[in-house]
Amino acid sequence: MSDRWNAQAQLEHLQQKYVGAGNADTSKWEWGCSIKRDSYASHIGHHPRLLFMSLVENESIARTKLQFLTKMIQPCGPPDNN
Amino acid sequence: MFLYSLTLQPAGGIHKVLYGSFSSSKAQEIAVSRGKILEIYRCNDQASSLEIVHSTELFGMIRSMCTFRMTGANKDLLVIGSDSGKIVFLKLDPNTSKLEVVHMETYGKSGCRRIVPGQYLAADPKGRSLMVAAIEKQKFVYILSRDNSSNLTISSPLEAHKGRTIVFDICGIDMGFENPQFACLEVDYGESDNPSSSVVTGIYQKLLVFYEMDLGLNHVIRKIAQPIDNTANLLIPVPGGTDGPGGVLVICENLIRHIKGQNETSITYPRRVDMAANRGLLISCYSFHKQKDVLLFLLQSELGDLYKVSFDSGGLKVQYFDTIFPCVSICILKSGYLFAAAEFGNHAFYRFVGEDDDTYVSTNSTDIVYFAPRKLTNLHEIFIIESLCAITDLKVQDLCNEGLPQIYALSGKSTRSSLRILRHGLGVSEMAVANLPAKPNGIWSIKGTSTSNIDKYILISFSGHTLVLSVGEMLSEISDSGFDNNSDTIHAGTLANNCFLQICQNSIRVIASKDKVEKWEPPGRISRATSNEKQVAITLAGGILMYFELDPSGKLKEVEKREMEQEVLCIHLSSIPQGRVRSRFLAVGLYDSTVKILSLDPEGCLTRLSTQALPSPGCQPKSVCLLEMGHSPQDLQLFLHVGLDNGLVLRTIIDSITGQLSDTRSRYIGSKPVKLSRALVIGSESLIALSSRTWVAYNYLGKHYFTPLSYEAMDYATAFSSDHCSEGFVGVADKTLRIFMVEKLGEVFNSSVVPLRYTPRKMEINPDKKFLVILESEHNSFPQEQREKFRTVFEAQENDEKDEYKIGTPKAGEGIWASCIRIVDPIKCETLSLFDLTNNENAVSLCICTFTGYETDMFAVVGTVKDMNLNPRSHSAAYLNVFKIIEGRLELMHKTSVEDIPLALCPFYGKLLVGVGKFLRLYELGKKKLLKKSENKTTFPSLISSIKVDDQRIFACDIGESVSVLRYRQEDNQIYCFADDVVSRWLSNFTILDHDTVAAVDKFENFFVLRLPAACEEDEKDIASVKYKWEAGFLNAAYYKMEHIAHFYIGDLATSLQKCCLSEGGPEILLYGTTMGAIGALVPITKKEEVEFFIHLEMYLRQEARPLLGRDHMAFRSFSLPVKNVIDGDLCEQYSFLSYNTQRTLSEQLGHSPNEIFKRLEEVKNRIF
Repeated sequence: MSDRWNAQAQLEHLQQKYVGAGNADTSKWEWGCSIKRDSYASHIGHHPRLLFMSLVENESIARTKLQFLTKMIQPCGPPDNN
Repeated sequence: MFLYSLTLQPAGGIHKVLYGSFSSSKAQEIAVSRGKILEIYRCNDQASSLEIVHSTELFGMIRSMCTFRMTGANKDLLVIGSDSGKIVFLKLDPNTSKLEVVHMETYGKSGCRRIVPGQYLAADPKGRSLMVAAIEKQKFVYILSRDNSSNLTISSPLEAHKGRTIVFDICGIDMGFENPQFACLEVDYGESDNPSSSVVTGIYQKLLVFYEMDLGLNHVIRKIAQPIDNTANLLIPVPGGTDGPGGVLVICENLIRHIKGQNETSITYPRRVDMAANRGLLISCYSFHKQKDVLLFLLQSELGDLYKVSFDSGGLKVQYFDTIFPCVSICILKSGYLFAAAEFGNHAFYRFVGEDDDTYVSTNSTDIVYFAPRKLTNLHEIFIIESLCAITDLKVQDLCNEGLPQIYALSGKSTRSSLRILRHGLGVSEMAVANLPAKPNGIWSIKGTSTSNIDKYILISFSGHTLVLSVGEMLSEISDSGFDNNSDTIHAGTLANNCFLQICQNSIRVIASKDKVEKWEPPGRISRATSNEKQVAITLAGGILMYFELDPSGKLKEVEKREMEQEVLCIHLSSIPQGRVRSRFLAVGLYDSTVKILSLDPEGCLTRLSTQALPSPGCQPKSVCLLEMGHSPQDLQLFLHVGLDNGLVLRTIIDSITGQLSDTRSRYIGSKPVKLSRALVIGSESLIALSSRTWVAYNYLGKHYFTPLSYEAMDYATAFSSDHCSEGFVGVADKTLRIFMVEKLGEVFNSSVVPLRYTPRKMEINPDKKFLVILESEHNSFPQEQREKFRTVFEAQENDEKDEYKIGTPKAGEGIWASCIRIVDPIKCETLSLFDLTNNENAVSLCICTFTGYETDMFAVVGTVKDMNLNPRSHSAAYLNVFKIIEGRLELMHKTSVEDIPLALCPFYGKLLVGVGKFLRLYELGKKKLLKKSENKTTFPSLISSIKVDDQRIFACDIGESVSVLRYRQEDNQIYCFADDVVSRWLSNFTILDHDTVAAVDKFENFFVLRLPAACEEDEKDIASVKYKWEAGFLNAAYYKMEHIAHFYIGDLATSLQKCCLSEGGPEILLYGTTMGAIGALVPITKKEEVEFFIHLEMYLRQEARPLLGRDHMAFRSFSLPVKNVIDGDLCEQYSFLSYNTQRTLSEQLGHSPNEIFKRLEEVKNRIF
């Protein structure tokens, strides 16, 4: 019993520590949000990629970056009702 | 297969610039981050120039930089947040001008992750603490102090984490010596199971949060969190105390807020008249300047307008300052300069000029002041720094018939777009050209005195007479110089007693003044001669060598005479080393294909010290040159250069004591016999080598360069310096005299520019007529005709000259496109014709082909999309336009409507392969339309982005699913897919290497090579029997999987990849261009021994040349997938930057001498050019 409880606590600790680590109940939407946030963070961190995106959209780099940051708030739109 | 990856042209694009005094308290220096390269520039105030002080490859990504000055210190430290999971403090060593790590502190995982700090950095202005933050959740605060020996010490990190919070910007606030505070722009997106949280509702509130670092209690508290405009994107700290009002400037769209405690003032920015009212005015970067009584901020909007923000008695004031190109980062220098790092294209350096005026001032938050961008009034451009930033396509071919291919690169964005034609070699600026009466046979520049650096005369020898030109404001011919005008000159120079020396066929003349000429006639005809300030050597026909020295009384005395027993072909004396009485060596090239080094010591004068045998027995030395070269005046090394009559140059080290020769390297430079002569580059000796091209060998910033000049081939050339050009060259090409200088040292390519109208996307070469077809297409932009309307409105408002190149054009909004197709003549660098696309169509793909039934004509097929929206991808119509190419002009034949985006086109044996959305189709040319002939059954996952054909195989790539290999079968008119990749990759470009192999680059900065399994070949022999197997596939995908045979993380997004050959007879290499404006090459290495050598060198260098940011080299190059079969040449090049001792230890471990290692590194490079 204590072992199982311990494992549960460890899992919770991991989820606390590593944002985006899922569990059995993670919905597709939550998982998607997490993936998209990771991607946006990566795009912002890699300047060459940010350049590429802003070139395609013909926006300034600052605006592309701001858009990505803003999209991280709600990356996948509202969740499905079910 | 093994490839050697080498960056040929380092990235030109800049990610961030920072101003600081890194080497000394008065130094004005700029730290420039180019993504994975860090550079330090120093401003030379007198010359208004920037000098590069240090440049280093990081093998890691810079994400943020800030300067940090410890309390009481007088120099800045550079703090860097990168993808290494470490925070690094760097200092610039004033003596060696190298960056050194002061401290490195690990706090998290490596990589650009969302919750690993490093994306933002902020320092307390008083130098007590530092905050490093991630995009989400994590923030660390460090307390920095000094230990007893005044070294930097860093505390353990204090956490200021807040989960589910996106950080937009952070800054350190000037609190004087109270507890340090940091301001952050944050949004809490809430828990996903809470129905009222932002992530569910999409409604959010941005907060300005102040974190206080309590130095007494040693913890961080979240002190205040106040709501702020959702459009806020930047925080700027305002100096407090005696320097300014303190607090923080919050930059929002349209509005700037100054917040200090409870006080808040806000002001709108002056706005461009032509800016759409619903579009926010976003500030993208800023810089600030603080002097005794001046405190001003310079802000730049995303359109490029600069605003001056200042605090005067009335409070905050925002004024329109000037308009330059949009920048990614700007910085003001103390002495009144502005460094502007462009987002795309060339950077510039400006000086502040102009008077204060009161136009376009905004002082409150309600009224909006409008302005029309004007030409520069407060700034004066001093120079530009070239950058190829954002290369969108790159092609290599010799379209100008120069014998060597040119590189054509599309670069830049919007109004700053251009086609750059790059040629390997140094760019040259021509100072003067003059015609000569006949073809000369020699040229010398003569210094006025032996110690002066300025040349007084230029001597040009013709057969039978010599022309003397006096150097002044103008070059003028003189006849009373004392030089003998009536015979051809063999050699001329200046002696230490300030007499001039002229050696003709039958006399040696020492000219003190025009009336005082000493003449000595030798016993035979002089064939070759050489001299320095104190020594002269001549050879007489028949191989008699005579050596003279200047005695203390200033007379030239014969010292020694020797029979060489054979004809002497060339002879050279090195210049006298610093602090020595004479040069010790004389190099003599002989008829028996040897070069001998003779001693000039008083004991054993003209005895042979060593012999250089020439590599191939038939060739003879054409010229020799002894030069002392090195990276600094302290470590000079004497080199023997031999120019051979077969176009080779040999370079050999001479031991300065024994005269022994070692480490010979050779380089082929052209088809003509090589003439060598001495020149000066940045004050040190360098070599000019003349063959079918002119080459210069020099040392610059710790590297040895041997590069051709992009200039006409010279017959004779020598160094030249005058008041106007201190380190120029004078040469003769055929019957013209030319004075020129090298523009930019260290440059690999020089470029000529063809400006373009919109962002260039793709380019194709018309193979028979040799011109380029370029697609330009720009989202969110008005087409030309509408722009012209705006322009007339502008001109009515103000009479200033409007330069779209600088001020840009208004944004049109999403889904509006401007696009055109251009044909460029690469020889004349001009546009032959331009086809504008109308009706909001934009061109997405291009191919040049011929069709069955129309063999005599050349066609350009262009895929266009109408009303295209990028996100989510949508459109109202899509077409394939067939143009007939007639004499550099496009004539539209017909338009075929297709239902999805035709992003990929490829000619296929008189037909056309088109990727229409998910479908791969085959079209034939009809009279009114393209006729659909076939379509593949199995669709692609999302969108076909590129198609290439090799023999009967079709390589098609999906935008997010890597390459698939297909086969067209004529009999049943079907396209079958039989192989694909196991990894889903977002390819940006690919190229076919051989029948089975493709090389590709992707949008996540990787390079890789894929190969088809051997079984495919067998299958393809009888498609009928395997087609069911192919159709059935394997695990819901193609039957065969391509093997992954090489992989490499470039660290820069390559947009183009081409197999080409840049040198005559060199191997084929892969060339790529990146969005940061770098050009790199991958060279195949075929010898197993060589592969092993480089693998070992890499292995040792990973240990010894640790990357500055603490990123593990192997981990960096394996960012997405483990690096495989690619050697990192940029790492191998680091060997030359190691200290001498480390070089020695490493070479012992490797079992090769340092010179051998250098030689191998050079050899690989020489294969490229």
